[in-house]
Amino acid sequence: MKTKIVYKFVVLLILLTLLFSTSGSVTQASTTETTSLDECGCCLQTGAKQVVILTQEDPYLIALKLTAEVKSAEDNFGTLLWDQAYLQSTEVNPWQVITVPIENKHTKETQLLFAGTQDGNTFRILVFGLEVEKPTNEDAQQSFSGSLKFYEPTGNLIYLGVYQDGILKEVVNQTDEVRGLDWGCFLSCIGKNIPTYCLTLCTICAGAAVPANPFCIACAGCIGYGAFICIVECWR
Amino acid sequence: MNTWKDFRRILIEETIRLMALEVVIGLTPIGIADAMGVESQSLYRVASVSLSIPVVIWVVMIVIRTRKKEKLTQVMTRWLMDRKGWIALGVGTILTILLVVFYSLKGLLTEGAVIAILLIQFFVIGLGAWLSLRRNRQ
Repeated sequence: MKTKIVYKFVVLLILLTLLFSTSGSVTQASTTETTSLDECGCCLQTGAKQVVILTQEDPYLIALKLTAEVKSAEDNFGTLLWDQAYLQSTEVNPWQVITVPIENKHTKETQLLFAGTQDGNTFRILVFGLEVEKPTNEDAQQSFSGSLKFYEPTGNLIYLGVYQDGILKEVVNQTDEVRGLDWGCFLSCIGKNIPTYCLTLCTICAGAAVPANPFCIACAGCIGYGAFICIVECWR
Repeated sequence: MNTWKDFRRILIEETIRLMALEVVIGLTPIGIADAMGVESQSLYRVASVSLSIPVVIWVVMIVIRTRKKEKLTQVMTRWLMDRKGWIALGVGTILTILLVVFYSLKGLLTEGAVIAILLIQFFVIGLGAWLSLRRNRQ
């Protein structure tokens, strides 16, 4: 009889321990605003445990600001809005992700910096870009048209997913791509460099286009040199 | 035989002109559009239009010159600077300076690049002057 009571007590104790251990949330960052599982339906779907808006004195944020990758991201993308940074931790994964919005005036993309960390000192940093082709309304949410991109902090595109009416149409994964010429970069490079250096030579050549014209030889040499420089610069 | 020779010469001359026009008409708008921050899709459109204009000129010029059956003068072994050449040099220099000012304002050219472009301009003017002097001596 006594054994039965002890057994029942132990089972009850185990159940209570399990119940309380799952409802609590742990984060090392300082918190000003918390959205728990019960309050946020979307968090239930993504498996997120907690979303925390970070203060400027947060040790995670201070450590992140000091990294070379963040400085590189600021140079290549735009201003990081540190006052809107937040931390997200998941229940199943020891990683915690700091998200910082980026203000980039040179693109229509909505850009976010993601910094994943386990210890609060070392970070894995990626920049996420989202471009929506159609205006967002109720229908468009069901049928997203646009592109999702992931960049390295240096500005290199490493993943591109193009969606058309909610269907993934194209995936470009730069990590396993065949090496080749980046045509956008090449066009931009020759468009800027060749006319600035060779315009006068080629204008004279266009006026008197004969093989004996030394300006035509110089123009051809200038184009060749400019194209070679741009190929070297834009070879990925 | 002569007709083929003439056609070949027209073709060579117009191809040289095509190369030069691709820089003057074809590439310049691409650089300007890119500096103005045009999207990549629009940039490709600008490029396809601007680069194809010199090709159209190339075809038209070959057709006109071939149909005209122009009497080609003897091939010059030496090309010397004339009045037309000086006008082209002046126009080219002004356009280059305007481009350099535009790119500098956009922050796309370094100080070193601006100096290099100006030095090339001086070299071109010097070459023009030398060819002009040689013409006067003859």
